[in-house]
Amino acid sequence: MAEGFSRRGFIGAAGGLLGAWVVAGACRRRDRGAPGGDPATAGYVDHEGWMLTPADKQKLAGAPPLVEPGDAP
Amino acid sequence: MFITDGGLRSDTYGYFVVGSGPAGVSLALALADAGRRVLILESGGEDQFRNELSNSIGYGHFSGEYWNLHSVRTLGGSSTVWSGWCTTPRELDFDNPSVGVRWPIPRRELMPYWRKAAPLLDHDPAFVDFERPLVPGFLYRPVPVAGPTNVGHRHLARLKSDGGVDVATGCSVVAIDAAESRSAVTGLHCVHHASGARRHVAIGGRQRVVLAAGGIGNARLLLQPPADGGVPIGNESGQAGRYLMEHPHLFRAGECALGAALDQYWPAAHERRGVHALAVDADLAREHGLYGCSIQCSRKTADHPMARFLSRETGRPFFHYGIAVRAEMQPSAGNRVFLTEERDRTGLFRPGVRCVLDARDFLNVEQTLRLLGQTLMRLDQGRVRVNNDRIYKNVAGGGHIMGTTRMGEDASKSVVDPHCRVHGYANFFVAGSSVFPTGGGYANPTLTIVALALRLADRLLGEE
Repeated sequence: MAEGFSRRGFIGAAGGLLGAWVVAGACRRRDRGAPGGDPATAGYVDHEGWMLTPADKQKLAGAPPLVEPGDAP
Repeated sequence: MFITDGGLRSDTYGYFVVGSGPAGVSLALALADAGRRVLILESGGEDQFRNELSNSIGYGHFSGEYWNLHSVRTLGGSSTVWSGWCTTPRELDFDNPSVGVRWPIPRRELMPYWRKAAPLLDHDPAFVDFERPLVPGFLYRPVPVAGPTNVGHRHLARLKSDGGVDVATGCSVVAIDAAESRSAVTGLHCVHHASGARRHVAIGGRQRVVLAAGGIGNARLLLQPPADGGVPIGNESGQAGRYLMEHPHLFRAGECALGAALDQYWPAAHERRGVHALAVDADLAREHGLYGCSIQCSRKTADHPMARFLSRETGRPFFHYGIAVRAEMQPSAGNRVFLTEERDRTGLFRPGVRCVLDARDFLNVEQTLRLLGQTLMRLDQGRVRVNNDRIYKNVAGGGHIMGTTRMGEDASKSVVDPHCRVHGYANFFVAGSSVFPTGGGYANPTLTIVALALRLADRLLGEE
């Protein structure tokens, strides 16, 4: 290894780049949305009108209503 | 000084202003400050409303009663029903390709006049143009609230003294005379309501007339057919009354949970003197073809299931806000003030008002909210709920009647030129939001109305 460039630093940097590539790819996929979808409604799932991640929706399954009083879900 | 007996002496004044709302009073006081004598002609009285004269018939998204509520004939005009909100249109609002109409004046030209206008409306000039970046693509852009100031009552002592401005109350302008060449206004016909007397005020070549009778009133006067049945005075372009715009108000259009408390962006000294609001930045607006849309957040609480859920998940505090939206609408020639067959008791044809929002106006709001939701979710900074029914089925307005005597360089497509002069006339001008060529984004119009009036005063004085 060259001076000032540790193996741990190299692995960290490579890992960071890989992570950024994965996140960027995921964002691109999310922006495209489903085939035939509407870009404005891409990248989220609906839960009583809330724009949520699939993980949010899974965790909120069975939770009490999340809407303001007076607003129907 | 108040003139209540209908006695008018036209040779005393250099300027005649029709209407005593924010535009008329600001303009008159600015001219009087420069030593000029001004007569304001006001249909109503100091506290007496004369709304039966402005009664409209509404078509489209808003009823006649709605327009009547915001087309007020009394000292102070529309400022008597104003909520006190002031903000400025942004750079993009002056030339947004998605709106398709640009203002013929640059934003920078209005900036000094906004600063002068703010104190007249009891606003702090430092905050009417306040904005901070919030998250990529969105700005924190609160709407300052003060007063609300009734411009008539605020300046009542001066208007009643011999301070250069006289106010003829209970006096409606019902017709305008012009030279045969249509190059100058030569007279005003007035009705004094208490006596029923009709007066003619001759206007000389060095005297100036400014219509400041509101978005419906200005157009209505320019649409009235003259006695000879010819083209109405000031409507040689045929554009008077067209391109009426409102600011669609969509209450409870959504709700959100945010990771940052919005009040951190607003100076503590200004607590309760503004409405928290977000807006897309110019780049995101251009990318998605969006126009004015203010996402106003209120009723902050940490005690909401979504705020608690996100706080639990992230280990950071989240706050829930209700969302109301105030937005821009597309100018359309079909939305307009026009004359019905019915006459009021002064003989003027009663106005009809058609205002139909475009599908794009609703989509603009929905897309703006969804972009905020997508952005906050991507950054793990919050979540948004979009209330479809409240956006598409519960539209209200703000009483912002704009565009009916629009400003432009082309005399065939506008009513007044960039200096608010009626095209072709040497001594005939219009003040008020009726000259707005677009809604100016979502910005509440009163500050810009006063700013344009002050700019017009400078122009008139400079022309002498």
